[in-house]
Amino acid sequence: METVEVATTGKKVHIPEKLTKQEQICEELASIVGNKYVEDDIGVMYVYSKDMTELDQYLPNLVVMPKTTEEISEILKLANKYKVPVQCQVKGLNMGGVHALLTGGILIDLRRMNRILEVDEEAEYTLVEAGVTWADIHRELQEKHPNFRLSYPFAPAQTGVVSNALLGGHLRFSTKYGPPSDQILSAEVVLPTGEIAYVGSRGLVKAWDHRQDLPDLLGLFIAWHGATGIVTKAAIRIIPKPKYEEKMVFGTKNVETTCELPRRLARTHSFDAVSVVDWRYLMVAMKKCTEIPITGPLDDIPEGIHTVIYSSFESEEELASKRKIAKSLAEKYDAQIMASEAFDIEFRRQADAIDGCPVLGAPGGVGMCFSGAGKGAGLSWIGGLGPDKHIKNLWVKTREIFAKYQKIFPQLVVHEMCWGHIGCFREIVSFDAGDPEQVEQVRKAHEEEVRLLLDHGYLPYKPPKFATDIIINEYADKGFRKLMKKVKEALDPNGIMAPGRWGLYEEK
Amino acid sequence: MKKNDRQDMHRVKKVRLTFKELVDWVYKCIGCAACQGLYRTQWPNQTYDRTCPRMDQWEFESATPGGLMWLLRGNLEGIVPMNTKTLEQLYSCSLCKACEFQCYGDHGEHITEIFLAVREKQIEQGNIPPKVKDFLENILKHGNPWGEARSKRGEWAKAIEGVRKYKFDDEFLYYVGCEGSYDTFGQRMARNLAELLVKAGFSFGILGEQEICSGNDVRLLGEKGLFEMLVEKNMKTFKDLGVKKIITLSPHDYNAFKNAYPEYGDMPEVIHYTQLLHELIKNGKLKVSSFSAKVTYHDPCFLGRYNNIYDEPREILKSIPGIELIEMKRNRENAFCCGGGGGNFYFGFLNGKARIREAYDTGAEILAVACPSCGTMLEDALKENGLEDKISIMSIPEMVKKTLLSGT
Repeated sequence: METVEVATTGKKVHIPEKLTKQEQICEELASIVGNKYVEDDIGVMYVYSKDMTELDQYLPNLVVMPKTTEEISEILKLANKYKVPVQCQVKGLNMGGVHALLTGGILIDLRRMNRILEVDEEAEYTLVEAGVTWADIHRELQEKHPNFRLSYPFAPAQTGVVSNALLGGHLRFSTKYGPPSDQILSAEVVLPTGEIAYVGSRGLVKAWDHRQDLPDLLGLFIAWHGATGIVTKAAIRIIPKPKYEEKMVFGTKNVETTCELPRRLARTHSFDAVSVVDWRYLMVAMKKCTEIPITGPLDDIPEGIHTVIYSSFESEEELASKRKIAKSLAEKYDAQIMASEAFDIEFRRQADAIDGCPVLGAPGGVGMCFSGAGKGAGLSWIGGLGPDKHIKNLWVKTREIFAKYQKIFPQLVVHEMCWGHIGCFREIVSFDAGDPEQVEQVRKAHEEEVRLLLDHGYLPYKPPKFATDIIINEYADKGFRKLMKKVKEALDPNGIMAPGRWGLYEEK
Repeated sequence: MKKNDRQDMHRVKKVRLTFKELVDWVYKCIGCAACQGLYRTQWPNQTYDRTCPRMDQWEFESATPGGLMWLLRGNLEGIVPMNTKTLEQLYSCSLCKACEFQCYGDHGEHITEIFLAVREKQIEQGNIPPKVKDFLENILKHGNPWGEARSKRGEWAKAIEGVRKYKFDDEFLYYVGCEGSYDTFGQRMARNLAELLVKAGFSFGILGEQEICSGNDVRLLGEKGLFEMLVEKNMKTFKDLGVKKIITLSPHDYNAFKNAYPEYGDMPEVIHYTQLLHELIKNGKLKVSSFSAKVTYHDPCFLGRYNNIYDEPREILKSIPGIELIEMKRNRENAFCCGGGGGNFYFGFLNGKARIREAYDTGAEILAVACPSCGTMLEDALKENGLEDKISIMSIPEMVKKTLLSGT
């Protein structure tokens, strides 16, 4: 592996040595997917190493673009034959770096597997291939099933639906509908050895629509970061569009009360989404998303926190009742109603900006407009899911961590999940990736943040490799580690799938 | 994002950035993929269709606009060589600007300028794909991309009564351009427009064998030296002949004369023919009669995204009684490029198959075009898609002329 340290960005770019028999592997891959869909040009490889975070870049040796499950099966058999590492991506867009490659070898680009195979309104699911994006599925629903939508992520519309669900995190309506992994009902998978299997209800009966009361083998693929196989199709839950919807925004200046307010709001089981953002997030989002002029530099804006709630309702009576609940809690926790679309349409724009998307219930966010100032745009985050009661501590201590670094400033976000049972806490940092000092500061701050989360019982979601290393080496139970290793060895005897993920098969 | 919020994207930049400033913008792209789908300009009813014709042709990440930015970044870092593959990817971009209208980054408005700057650098270093080299040599030697004889440049006009060489006192110069002079579709379009201009009673003339390429695509291929030579020659011709106003057939030429030439000196007034026809019809100088058809219209990048001319062609079509104008899903600033911009018309790196399919899907019988390059690209794609019997391609001058004839 040759390593180039790029002076402009301070990042390391790792270029793999040519594989033994690389030409032969390319030829055999071409016989599986066609010449047009195999590439090993270094320029094309470099583009697949792209990453907006502080992490190193790794180039694959070659990229292959299959169209079918059977082709993937053949590719994995070939990789086992030559003992070549395999990783896969849909769009490679995770801004926390979980998508970033860790080694050379074969990269399977799944974007050609982009068919929406079924939308079952009665059973409330859609069956999609692994390369289908949120943009694809949203368009399909908008055009053919206008009464349905999904719980969309905050990620760009061009990211993959299945990969997003498998990797975890939170969705727009996670307060009501839970995390992304709860949206998967059944799946078709290709195991590292090339065998094809079904998990969820589809593994036992000819139905894709549930995963209750059966050995949940889907868990073998959720949050494993591609180390146990490739999910090629998945049934994803769709949700009915409500008759009406409304957002409200509350503002407070007090961290203590506003860390309590969202939890209390979520625990009324009344609102589809309850989230909290700080002023910095709000200002950046508003500037880019709604272009409402912002007076003064960001640093002059006082600390403040906004809570956004989103309600769906089927009748005016239900709305009135939900408003009453929200207002009474707001009063109790000394929060001021800043905006409600019912009262002031202009504030609706603010609320949309905070939510990260100009449109309710549509994919695509403005997250990417947070990319840092300066020569090199850098964007990264660390977030975790865990006991909601620790949100206030995380908020305060995260500010303390970043206060040590002079050049980087976080934006803080909280999202209530599962009716307030779980809290999602996230810091987003925009930085100049063209300033090696800032890149280094982000690295250090993020290592501290990972430990802060873990110390509070939070688990980082979509963790990049440095974070999984901390989790596995410093925090994980021995028995858990042993079990993970056993599962991995049983499924992937040659250790070809995503070596290095969760510290497994790193040496290979 | 509301459509109107993006109107500033159409503005012409008065100050060109240096190569260094431009390549610095490469590092602003985080590869977020916003450039790949229609998003910002379709608020609040996004359909998320693709923006980039390269993505329809190839599917690897490097075929996306952001992917090309990262490819160039790899080159700047000394990791990616400017080999045949990299050059092909650099030159296959049609510079259609669709990505610029979607990008959230501060670098967004510079994307095509960045690609252009890197092309200029390659030309300086003599690192040119063979097809591009042939194109440039033909322009240099013959004043047109195909190496056709200069003497044949005005042949398209021979059979048209009333079309003659430009004279000092003429109201305007009809600049036909390379496609109008030599390309089959372009010639037909040039003739139709000439007949309309005669019918409207203008005193105008053409340059005939004296006409040379405007250099729009030469500039966009990065051959700045040759472009400047063409500018000098053309400006001298316009000055010597006392040209006060130019009507262009091709939006490419319109773009060069309107936006690039003024950097080098005073230019006559420049108008695109769609603006003129719109005025003529509106003022009753051209009277159109009924023509019953379902029509969809394809926005050329060099009229639309480059010059903010969206309404005039549509107004012309709407003014023809009996025409039902149906919009394609991707229209105006969201229009999907036919693949013929940025020099691609001559190289065939891209094709217009997806666009013709989109036009067909509207249920229209006619796809109206305002640009000769688009016309040829889409006519080729029509044949490749086997849709010749389902939908036909007509230029706006041809449609207007047809209504004039049928109405008399």
